[in-house]
Amino acid sequence: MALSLPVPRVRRAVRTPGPYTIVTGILAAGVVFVVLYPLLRLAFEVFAPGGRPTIEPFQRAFALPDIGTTIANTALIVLLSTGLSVVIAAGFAWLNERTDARLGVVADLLPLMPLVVPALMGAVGWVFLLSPRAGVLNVLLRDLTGGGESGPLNISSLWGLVFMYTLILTPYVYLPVSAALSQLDSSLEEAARINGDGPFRAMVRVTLPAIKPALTAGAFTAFVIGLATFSIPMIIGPAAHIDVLSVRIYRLMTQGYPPDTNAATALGALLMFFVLIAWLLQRRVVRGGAYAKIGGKGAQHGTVSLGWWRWPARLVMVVFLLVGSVVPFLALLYISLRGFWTADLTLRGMTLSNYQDVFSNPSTWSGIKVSVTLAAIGSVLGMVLAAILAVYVQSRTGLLSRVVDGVTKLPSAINHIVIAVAFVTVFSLPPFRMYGSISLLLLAYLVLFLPQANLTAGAAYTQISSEMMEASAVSGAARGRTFGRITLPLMMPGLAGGVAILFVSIAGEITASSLLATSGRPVIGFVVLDLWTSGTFPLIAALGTLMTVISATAVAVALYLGKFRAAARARA
Amino acid sequence: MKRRVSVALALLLTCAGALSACGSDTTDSTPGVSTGDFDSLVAAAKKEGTVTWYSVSAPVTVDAIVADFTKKYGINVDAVRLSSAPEAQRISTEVKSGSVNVDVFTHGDASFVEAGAKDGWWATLDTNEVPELAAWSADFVKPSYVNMSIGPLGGVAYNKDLVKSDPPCTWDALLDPRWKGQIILTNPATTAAYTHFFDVVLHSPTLGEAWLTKFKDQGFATVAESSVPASQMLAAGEGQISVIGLIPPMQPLIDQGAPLGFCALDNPAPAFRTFAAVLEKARHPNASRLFMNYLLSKEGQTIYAQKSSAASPLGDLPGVVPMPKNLVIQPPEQVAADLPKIQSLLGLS
Repeated sequence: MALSLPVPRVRRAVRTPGPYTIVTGILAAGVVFVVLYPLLRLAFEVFAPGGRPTIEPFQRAFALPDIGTTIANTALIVLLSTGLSVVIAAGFAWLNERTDARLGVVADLLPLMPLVVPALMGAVGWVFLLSPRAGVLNVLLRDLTGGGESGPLNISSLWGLVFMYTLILTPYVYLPVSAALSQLDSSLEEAARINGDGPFRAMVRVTLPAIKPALTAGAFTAFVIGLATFSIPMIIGPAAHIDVLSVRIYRLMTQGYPPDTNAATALGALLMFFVLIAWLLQRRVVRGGAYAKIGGKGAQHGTVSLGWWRWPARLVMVVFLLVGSVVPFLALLYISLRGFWTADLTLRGMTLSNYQDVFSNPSTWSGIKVSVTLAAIGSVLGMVLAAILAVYVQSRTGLLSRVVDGVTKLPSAINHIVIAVAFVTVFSLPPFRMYGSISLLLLAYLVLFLPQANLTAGAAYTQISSEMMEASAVSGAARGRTFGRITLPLMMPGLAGGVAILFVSIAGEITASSLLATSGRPVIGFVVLDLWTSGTFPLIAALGTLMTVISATAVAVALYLGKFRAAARARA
Repeated sequence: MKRRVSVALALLLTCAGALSACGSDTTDSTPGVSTGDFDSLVAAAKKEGTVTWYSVSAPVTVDAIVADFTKKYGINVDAVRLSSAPEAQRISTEVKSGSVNVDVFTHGDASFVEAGAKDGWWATLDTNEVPELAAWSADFVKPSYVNMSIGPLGGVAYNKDLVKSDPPCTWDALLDPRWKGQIILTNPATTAAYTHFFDVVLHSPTLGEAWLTKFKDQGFATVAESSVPASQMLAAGEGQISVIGLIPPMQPLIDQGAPLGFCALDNPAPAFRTFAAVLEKARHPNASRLFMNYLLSKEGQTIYAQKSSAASPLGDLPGVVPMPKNLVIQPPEQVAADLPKIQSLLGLS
């Protein structure tokens, strides 16, 4: 056995590192720098200017008018919508994974819903639908019930915000919960049912407690994303007289002159504190509870029969999917075909002029061009980078490898608006002077979506059998050659789907774009936000419709690649 | 293959490096301003060939000015339209980072323009470089910036389909119970110009806090981020009237058949002002001065004022609204300090 050791590889490792090792080392160090440097420098400049620690930024932040109300509103909205999304996601995951109500289309599309119709466009669509007087759906409902001049529903309210938050958070909980349920051994459930529990009671008493880690992980993700959600409260909040922390930070950075970076950073630190508390709670729940272990590949589970109840159950799932995607899309489409927003429901006076405007208006057209270009470059670059880092982290054990591993996961725990504040503050200064540049946006997108790309790349890498790489090394191939000829091609199916998803994420990004983009080099998110303040609604709707079509196409490509990959694996 | 992978990775790094290098248009050197007469300034400006103008004005105003200036001088105007706060952000970042892209800007927030003047960001202008300044009253001219326009006039916009008669055209009329729950409010926090509108009310001896409180008690149908979405919500029927009504964002909707009407508020008449300045480190120093000269000329003023429904400090010009009689202007520092109180009185916090 000892004789078969890949001698060339060992010798190579002992001797000077090859070009691949040097390049990946530089890349890894570069990623650590780009993620940590702006955050640390911002923290240093705000909380320890000139080396002297100060709490002045916190005093300043907590002295802001009505900041207590803002914090309370943020907590209320995020906690309520996290709770609701956990309930809905757990229900849907159970229906899809454990019962005969399973609907493949829901199982496939629900996790991708936030990508197909980005939250920003969903919020705009629902404003067109549920504004109290002029909302198209409200007009329809009033026509049906024959009552009043306003309502019955109002998107510009606390419940409107919770509704929108729940729509976008549910998929993030659904993903881990459905994965856990699909692998859970069903013997406990069956035992409960033999002992007289109905299907629903067995789910609540046995199934859900058994997947507590997945539920809490989903709830934690939803909570973190809820805190970071920016586009929904930005669009709906002002009319509802409700501010949340992410919007408050944005306003501190953009309204009035000069920007209040100190107070904004202090509020950002507060958000990170909330995330820390949630993380500690999650760990405590998972550690303290006794829960069933997920069975391995061989886990067997029978399907629970719901009888005729499976039809209403399926209907609820389909309605949820429509409410989160098709319905707001139709609202965007309808308004995009009108000269101006009107409460009249009519096909008269339909026009395509808003689409012409999207292409002739310099701001919207360059927004599309810049976003699509950035998304194309960023998704490929990000995925290749993530692949290199994933291989680097998983095939090494040194300190840098551990640091790189931690750093690539870090941006998922830090609010996007905080990262944007750090980037705009630090990289605007000499020697960088990158404010308003495409490269700063690209860099920010790479950092923001690094955890997501890394997760995909890591999964793609772990599915490759190490035998191939070992064989390559035994044959004397250097690391670079092994990566280029063996590892990367084998990871390709997983990476291709990841590129499509990354493309959609970057093209639809709004939080960082709102602070980092400028009208000189706008991106779609920035343009929509600017148009919301100073443009026409039909133009926003036309842009949103186009954006949704682009996103849906990319998601369809990702789904196709996923299916293609699954089919290829099955064939193999 | 090893070489190919390494080359690809190196290429990736180079790409990233190149992207960051080409990201910003860094220009530290400032070519000089023509020292000869106005004709030589025009010749130097034509040689520069372009001027970059950041503006908060409506597209219709920007387009008209750009078309006329380009026709007159054959100089290209790279016009960038921005909202007030992003414009201030962008200009200050450009100046601080030393990569100044903007040559001339027009802006509505007096405090930003004054702060930049104190820091020496704007060029000091004289009549040799900008001869039209000679015709301007000292009330509107500072060494490095000019209050180039008074307006648009703030008032009440209303939906003619929903308000068939007697639109509320006075401050008192806005408190009529008829408008309860029917008012689309423009968020005073969005820009200093909006804050100024309500600050004039706050400090008015006849209106004051009492008026703001009663106005809040009317209950707002919705709160819009600016008068642009407010006008569209008004057209859609989300409310019957809108405060702060402004004509420029209403005009494109009226042109498309939206049933919108407007009346200006007077006594007091809150003034929206527009300031103009040339950057000290403008990349096109001659073209920027020529553009400024054009903005201050009767020709430029007439087009600007007509298109933005504003009054001109030059006085009566053909087709331009006259200067409001009870014009009130509040100091910018006071406006900024009063914002939390205004928000609180309007129940927005």
